[in-house]
Amino acid sequence: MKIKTLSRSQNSVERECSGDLRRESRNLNPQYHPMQRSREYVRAVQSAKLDRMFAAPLIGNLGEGHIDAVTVSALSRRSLLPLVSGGADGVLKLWDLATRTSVATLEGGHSRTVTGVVFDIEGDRFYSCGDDGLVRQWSIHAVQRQQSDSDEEDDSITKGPYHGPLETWRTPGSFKSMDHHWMDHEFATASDEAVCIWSPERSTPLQTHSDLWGSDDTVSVVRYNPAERCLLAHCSADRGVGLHDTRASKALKKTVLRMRSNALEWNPMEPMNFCVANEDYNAYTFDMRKLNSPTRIYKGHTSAVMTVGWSPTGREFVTGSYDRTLRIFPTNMGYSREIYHTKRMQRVFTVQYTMDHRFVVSGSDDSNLRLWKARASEQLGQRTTREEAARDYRQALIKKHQHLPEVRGIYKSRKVPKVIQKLSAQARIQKDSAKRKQENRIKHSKPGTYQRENDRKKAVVKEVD
Amino acid sequence: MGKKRRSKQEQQQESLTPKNEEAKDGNDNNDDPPKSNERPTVSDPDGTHDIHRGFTNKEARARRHELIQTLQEKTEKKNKKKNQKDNNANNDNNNHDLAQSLKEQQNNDETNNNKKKRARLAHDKILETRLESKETKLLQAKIAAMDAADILHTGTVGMVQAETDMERTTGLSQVELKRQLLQDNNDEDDNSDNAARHIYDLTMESPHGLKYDRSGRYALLYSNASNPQGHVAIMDCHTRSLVNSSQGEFYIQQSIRDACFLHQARLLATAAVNQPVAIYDDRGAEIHSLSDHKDAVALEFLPYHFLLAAIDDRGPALLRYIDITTGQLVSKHRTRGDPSGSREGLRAGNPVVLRQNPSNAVLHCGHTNGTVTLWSPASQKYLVKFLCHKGAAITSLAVDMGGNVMVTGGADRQVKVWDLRNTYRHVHSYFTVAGPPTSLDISQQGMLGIGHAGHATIWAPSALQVKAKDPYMHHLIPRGGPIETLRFRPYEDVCGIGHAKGMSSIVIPGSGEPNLDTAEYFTNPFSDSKQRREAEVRALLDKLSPDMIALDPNVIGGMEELDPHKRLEQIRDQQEAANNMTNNKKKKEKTKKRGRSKIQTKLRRKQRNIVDQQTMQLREAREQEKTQEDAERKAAKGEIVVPTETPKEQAPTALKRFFS
Repeated sequence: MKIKTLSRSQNSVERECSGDLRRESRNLNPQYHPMQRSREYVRAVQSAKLDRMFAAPLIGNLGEGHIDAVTVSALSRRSLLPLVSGGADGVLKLWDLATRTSVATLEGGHSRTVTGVVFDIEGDRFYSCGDDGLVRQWSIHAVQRQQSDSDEEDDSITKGPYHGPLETWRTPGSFKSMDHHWMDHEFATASDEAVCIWSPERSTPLQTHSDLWGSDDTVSVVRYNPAERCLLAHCSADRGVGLHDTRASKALKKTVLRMRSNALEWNPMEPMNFCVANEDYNAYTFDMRKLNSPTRIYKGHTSAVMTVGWSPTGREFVTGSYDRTLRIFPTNMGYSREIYHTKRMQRVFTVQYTMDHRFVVSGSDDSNLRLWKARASEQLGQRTTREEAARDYRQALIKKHQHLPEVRGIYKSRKVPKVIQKLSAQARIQKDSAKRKQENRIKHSKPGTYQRENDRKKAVVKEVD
Repeated sequence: MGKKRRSKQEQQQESLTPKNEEAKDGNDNNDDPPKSNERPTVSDPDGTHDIHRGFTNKEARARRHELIQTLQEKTEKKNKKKNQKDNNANNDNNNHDLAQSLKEQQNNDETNNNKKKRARLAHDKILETRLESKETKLLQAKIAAMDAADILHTGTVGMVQAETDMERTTGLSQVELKRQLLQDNNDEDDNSDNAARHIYDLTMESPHGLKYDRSGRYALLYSNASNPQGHVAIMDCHTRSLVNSSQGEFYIQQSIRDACFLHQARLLATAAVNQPVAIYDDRGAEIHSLSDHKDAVALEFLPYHFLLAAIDDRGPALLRYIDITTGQLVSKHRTRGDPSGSREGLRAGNPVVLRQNPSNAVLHCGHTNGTVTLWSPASQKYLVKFLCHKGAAITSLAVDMGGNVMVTGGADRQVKVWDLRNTYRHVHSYFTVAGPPTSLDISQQGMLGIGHAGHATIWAPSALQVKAKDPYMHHLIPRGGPIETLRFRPYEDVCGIGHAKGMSSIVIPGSGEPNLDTAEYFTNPFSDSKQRREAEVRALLDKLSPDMIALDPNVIGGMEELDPHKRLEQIRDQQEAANNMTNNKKKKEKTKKRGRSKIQTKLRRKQRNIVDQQTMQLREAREQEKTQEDAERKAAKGEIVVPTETPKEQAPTALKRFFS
């Protein structure tokens, strides 16, 4: 008789010391893992709950901030650390993002509201423009040195050597916006009267387009395309969004939306696409080759969208709005993934997505700059491999079960201020009623008299070539 | 696009493959020849290649075809290995081969079905591609799982094999087995590892029952209802001593009918005569008493739902589910008598046995009238009802780990095997010689243990599929009958028997699972206190809701019917189908002429005899048809057809009166 039996003993699993790892073994036979699907579902619900439990998006304010509203901000395209912000009182501030502290304050930067800040291509200098009709060039190093001097001495501006702006350009009107070229030493400004292209070496603009590129009104935003050297996009006060080739005298294309656009940013990874923040509570993305309709409408804000910032991956963007909230939109969805708000945050004028796509900076009317996490429940700091594996598993579970009502209900729910809740409900009612009215009209009139119109087609009033 | 995206390396691999492969495929011969080179080839037989998004339809198809081949090769290899092992034994290989060929045939049928389905969907190309890529992924996962199993499953199942034709494994006694095991291990000094240490008896004054926890490390010993002192002991099977340094033994001064461990061996529940169900810890402290549930007959604990189920035999014979994490009553069900007042349920008889189906947590309850009912907390009525033993009480019941087979033992000394998959049919039965089967159990590897009188008979796993002639092993406890409980110890080749003389532990080679899974909660026999604590927390986080218990454990995560009424109908249909399967004998219509004078039948008969216009027309039409058919038949034979009918007969009915 041939006999073989199992024989287990404690010795086989005994650890030599308490620090030793425990012996792990796996049995993949599904018989020993009954009701796997139900258990996975329960785990998915738990993961969704944990995700919401750990959601704490606000990291904090940037300390010792502006005294007046923050109107503009800029991040370097080269380095993760520096951030420049400009206030409504003309003060410029340089920040260190890692420590969330103010590096320098430029009190007399401008005499009126700062309307544009931008870093140059090397990232060690920045330009600012304001309502006072000045464009100024600053060096980060000089500014930092000045600050350290002022810290040592009591009264810096009178006693120490003054490291003011490197250059200053003047025009009679006031500037609305500025942007730096992505590859060359060249920058563009938009003022009341003209759009100008400047070189830092010259005291006068290289080009002046005083006819405002066919616009009947002021150009409020200019942005260089990241890939095409001579391509500029602009928004004007006549509700237009247009493209311009700096080599030509006339505008390339222009489209007129139903309301004014407050901001425009090019997608850094797909440079043919850009996003526009509009007064009609929506953001739009356009393909520059087809300006007759937006590629997508991003809805959700309950007041004018003031500003927009692209994630460096080009897959998401953040918007700031007059309704005192930020929203993060994935480009492939028409609704926001996240909504950020605090009790004290007022109307948001400027937002930036940091270059590591992990954080968002917002500047608002309450004179504060705030640092947010781009993924609300992300754990900051170092994680162990096991923590990371657990997080990945949880994310995968949520992704797999996201369409089930219980998981979706938990995962997608966001607590928003009552005002916004009410306004959103109102907007929904208005939308429904408009739809109902349209349907009724179609139903009760001669066929063909009325046609259902695409929302995206409706957004554009006319296209001008 | 797909062609462009592929890397140089792949193109090099392609060049190595013979071109005539395309001829074998033979699907798209009309394509221009250079395309044949574009097909991706599999240089790695393990299928560790990823599927690229850029694959064209044709490429994906080829890839899947290759994966299927590798899968088949792997299964063949495995089967060969198995066959080689089996060759030594007298096992009938023919059966095995037959089963295998049947399986293959099934596979072929499945692929054919898939093809048909796909043909139907052929117009939707996007869907087709998506389905194909999904199938490929599934195949890959299967192969990966097989590879992983090769590495992870290191243990091998135990066995007893007869070496000559004259030998029978049944003849191997535990004494002989112990002697051989000790002899085999003599070379090694470490005697503690030897399986022979599991063969022992504990003699006690009163009859005892014995149950193991899920890890198989701890055994719960409890005296049966004949002992009013109520002796309970928890034994650590590794050290063969009481837990908590001999404090794990206590008397609860009640006549215990049933006891079971809760999720861990530190907690246990007891059901006693005229006493409420109580929960004790491992030192004998009563933690909780379910005062409203007295006189329970049987207990069962559902580990994934943390539910304690108890059933009594008073009045409506309530089955109660108690959530032990909150202490709340989840639901209670009348197993006897319907809430609607129909008399059907009253015939259910007293409940005696309660066992769970481990694969879907449905409870199986055996009654004294020979029926078995299936219960879930979500439904007030039973899910399925079987009449298993006609005219004989159910004495014992067991369900296998996979939830495919149920075994019932009746007072008629029959042990019947039932297929639970979707047919709910009786497969075959065994007869117990010594007495009615008082306890049944199915081991992890599918061995069937039957306790009858003082005998324990163990049948090999194949005995559940096909009726076997001889049992695998047999053990007699002299004057030990009737056997109170017979339970296989999880993850060990051991069977524990609680009987009139105390308890015995015997070794049944090949009954336990060799490979542990330390990640599955409470199944690791070697877990230390820290692991146990962690497992408890994790298990509580993963606690399933009671209403998730259903006949099909995969209902959750599947597609749901949107319309709630239709959904309910579907569930009802499923249950009805199951119930119909169990009582599949159709009622014959009675031919007796009893009750002839019933007014209803009289009327019906009258109705049948009325000759109205419609019947007349039908008759005529039929006659005409007949004559026509005749004529045609004759014409076909070549006979001349003479119209036999007179004009009167040819004329329509209404005009007939005008002919004389």
